[in-house]
Amino acid sequence: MHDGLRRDGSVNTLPRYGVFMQEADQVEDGDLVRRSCAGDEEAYSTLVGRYMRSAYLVAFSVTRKHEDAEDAAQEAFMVALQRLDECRNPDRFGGWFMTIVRNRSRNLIRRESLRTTSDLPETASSNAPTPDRQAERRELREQLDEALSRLSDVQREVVMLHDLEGWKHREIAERLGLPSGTVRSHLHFARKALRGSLGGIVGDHIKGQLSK
Amino acid sequence: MSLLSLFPTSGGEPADEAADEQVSAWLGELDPGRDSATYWMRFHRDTVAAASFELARRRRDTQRTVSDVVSSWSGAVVSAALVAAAAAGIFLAQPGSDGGPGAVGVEEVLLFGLAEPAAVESEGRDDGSDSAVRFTAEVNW
Repeated sequence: MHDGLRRDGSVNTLPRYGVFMQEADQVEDGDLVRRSCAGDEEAYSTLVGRYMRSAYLVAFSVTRKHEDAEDAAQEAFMVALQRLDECRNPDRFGGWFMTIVRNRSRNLIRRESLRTTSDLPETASSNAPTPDRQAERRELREQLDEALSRLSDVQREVVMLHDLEGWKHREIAERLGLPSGTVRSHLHFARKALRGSLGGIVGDHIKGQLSK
Repeated sequence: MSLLSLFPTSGGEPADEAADEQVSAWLGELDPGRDSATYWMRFHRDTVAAASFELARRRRDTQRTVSDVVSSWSGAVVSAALVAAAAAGIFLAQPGSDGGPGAVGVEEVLLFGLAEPAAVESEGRDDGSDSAVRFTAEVNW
């Protein structure tokens, strides 16, 4: 239940893409993993759609660079497919896969530490904001990056998966291999830290989003 | 589409399960699909395309039957068997190269006895020793 729709049936933030995957979203991870093992492209495609955003967010939590996060997430999908037979419990694919994402992200940081990358996603020209808004967002992104840098990897993962991807405490606990209480604690601390760092700089852009 | 509509808080969830709207809005800046409606579609397409070779390999492996496996080995097995048979034939066709006595059948021994027992006997007597060979020759019926 991570793709396309949130639990209350409303459209989730990141997907936009997942509308056509609603039916596939009902299929359990274990079934998708077993079919992917046999080379079923549709099953693998559903797995990718289901976990691509969370993979990106976990990778970003580690790399804190958009391009590295993108590379690490895509690499992780490839590695996961190659090692799919080693996934002992296909029903718990999410936790196994997130470990791969995290490891690939750390490896990528070590491997490409000299590469210059942009910290945050490039703005698409098709939907480019005005220069004023761009400047405002750039400022917000810089401060957001600074605020996130004060959090640990796991705190970033927890707050992003919960408040951006919409995962529940139980799902985060299962997939990150943490006790539920620890997840709540990390989430509380991360939110508090972000509010402390960013609370005074709610720009017009964010205000506009919140007031709608 | 506003971020609020994208991050609704559902009434049925426990309070601590609800997303923090303000934090969600800040973190929304990190979504690469925010400014590009096709970002995630491209990400998905590229990721699946990159896996096409591995998926095809897995399909091939799954579709292989027992007869496929046997037939894949049959070429090598038949070749090895032919080579082994040829080598055995050549070996059997060659006469003994060390000049020693040929093989003696059991029936031949029973009917005609061993060849040249006298040589063994004379060697024993020449020595003048009371050897086991001499004894054997004397008790030969």
